[in-house]
Amino acid sequence: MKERMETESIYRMLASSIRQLFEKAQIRSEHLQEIRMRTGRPLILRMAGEEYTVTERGELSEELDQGHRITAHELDATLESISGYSLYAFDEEMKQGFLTVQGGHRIGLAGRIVTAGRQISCIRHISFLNIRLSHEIIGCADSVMPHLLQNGMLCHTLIISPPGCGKTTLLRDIIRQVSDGTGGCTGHTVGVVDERSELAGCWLGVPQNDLGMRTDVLDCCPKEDGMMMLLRSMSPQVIAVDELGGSEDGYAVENVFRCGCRLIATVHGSSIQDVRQKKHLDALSRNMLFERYIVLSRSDVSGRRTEVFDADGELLYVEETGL
Amino acid sequence: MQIGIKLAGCFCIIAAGWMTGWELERRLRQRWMFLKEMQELFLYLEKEMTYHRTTVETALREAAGNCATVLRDLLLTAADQVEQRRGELFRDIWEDAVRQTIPGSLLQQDQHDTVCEAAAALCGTDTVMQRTMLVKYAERFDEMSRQESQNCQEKGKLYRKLSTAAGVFIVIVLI
Repeated sequence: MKERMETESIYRMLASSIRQLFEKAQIRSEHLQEIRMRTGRPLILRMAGEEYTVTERGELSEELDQGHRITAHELDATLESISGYSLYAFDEEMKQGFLTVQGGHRIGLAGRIVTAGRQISCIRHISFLNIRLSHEIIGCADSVMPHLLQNGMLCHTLIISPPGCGKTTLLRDIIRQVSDGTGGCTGHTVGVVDERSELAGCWLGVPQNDLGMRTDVLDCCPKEDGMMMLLRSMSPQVIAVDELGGSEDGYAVENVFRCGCRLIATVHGSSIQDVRQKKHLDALSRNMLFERYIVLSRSDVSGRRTEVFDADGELLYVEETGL
Repeated sequence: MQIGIKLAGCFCIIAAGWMTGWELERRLRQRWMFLKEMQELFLYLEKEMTYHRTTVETALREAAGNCATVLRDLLLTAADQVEQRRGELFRDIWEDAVRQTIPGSLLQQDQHDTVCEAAAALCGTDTVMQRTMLVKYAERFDEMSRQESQNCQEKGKLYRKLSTAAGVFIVIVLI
C-alpha cells in the first residue's frame, strides 16, 4: 500500500506523456534511484545502480539511444508539476540549483544562470533535471548505534564516505534514533542544520522524513550560521549537519564543541587520513575532537562496508552489507 | 374591460422593453465587475506569491473567497486542476478553466485573450519577472475595467432609453 502511494506520488511529478510511459513500463518506486531528463536526449532511469531507459512503446531497455527523447514541453510540464505550479515558492532553493519536493525527493536543475554581479539571481531555460528519489531506510543505523554511545552519552561522531555510499541515509537514521532514544540511550533534543534539504526533506517547512520526536530542523540554512542559530535559540543537546568541508565550517564546529553539545556530521572522503588532509578539518581531527569515525566504502563482495573507529583510529566494528 | 386589457398590454410591452435594456446594462456591469476583480486579484497575488511565497493552489483558493463574479468559479476550477497534477502545463490548466467557467458573452475577444495570457504571470521560474508581470497585468486589467466602467455608464443608459423607447413605439403602433 505504502509502495503504491510512493509510486503514485512519483508519477504525479511527471509530465502526462512520460507518466503514461512509466505506467506502461510498470516502473515502481522501490527500484528507482534517479530519473534524468535532458531536453532532446533520452530519458534515463537509474535503478539498483544500473542505467535504463523507457522506449516510445513503454518498454524498459538498457539501450539508452532507443529511449524516449524528452521534449522541452515535457520538461517544462514536469518542472511545473514537481513544484505544484509554484516555482516562485522555491526561488531561493533554485538559486542553489535544486529544490526539494513533497516526499523529500530532491530535484537538481541546470540551465541558463542569470547573475547580478557575482550573485545568482535565477535559473532560466531549465533544460536538465535530475530527480533523486528519497528512500528513507528506517533502522539502517541499528548496528552502529551501540558503538557511538559511551556511558549513555553520544560520542562526537564523523561519518566519512565517498558519494553514493549512503552517509546521508545513515546520518538520518542516527538522528532519528538519538532523538527518539535507543537501547542504552534516552532521547536527546537534536538540532539539524539541513543546508540542502536532504536530511529532513522539508516541504513547506514540514520534514518529509522521520527525524525523531525531539528534532528541530533549520531548513536551507548555511551550516556555519545554522549551528550558531541553533545553539542560541533551540538549546540542542546534539547538533547534526551533513557534508562539512567549507572554510567556515571548522570554526562553527569548534563552537559547538565548546558549548557542550554533541556533534554528528558527515564529510566526503575515503578514510580518516583522507579527511585529515583536508585543510579546514585538519585541526578538528588532529585535536581528536571527534570520538568516533564511521567510514563507509564500497565493497566488491557485498556492496557496502561500514567501519567504526575510535578517536585513536582503533577499529571497533566492521560490517559488510548490500547497498 | 377592453381598455383595461389594452392598458395591461401596453404596460407589459413597455416593461419588456425596459427589462431588455436593464439586462443589457447588467451584462455590461458584470463585465466591468469581472475585470475589476481581475485587477484586484493580480494585486493580491503579487503580494501572496512574491512576498509570502504562497503556493499557487492556496493563493487561488484564498483569492476565490473574495470574489463575487464568475472569477470565483474560474479560480476554484484552476486550483482543483492544480491539485490533481495531471502533468499539464499551467498555461493549459488555466485556459481549460477559462473555457469551462467564463461564458462566451461575458468578455470581448481581446479581453478573453488577455485573461488566457495572464497564465504566464501566475507560473514562472523568475520571481523578478513574475512580479513585474503581475503588476503589468494588474495595470492592464485596471485600464480595461476603467474603460468598461465608462462603457457601462454611457451604453447602459442608452440601452435602457432605447429599449424603453422601442417599447413605447410598439405600443403606439399597436394602438
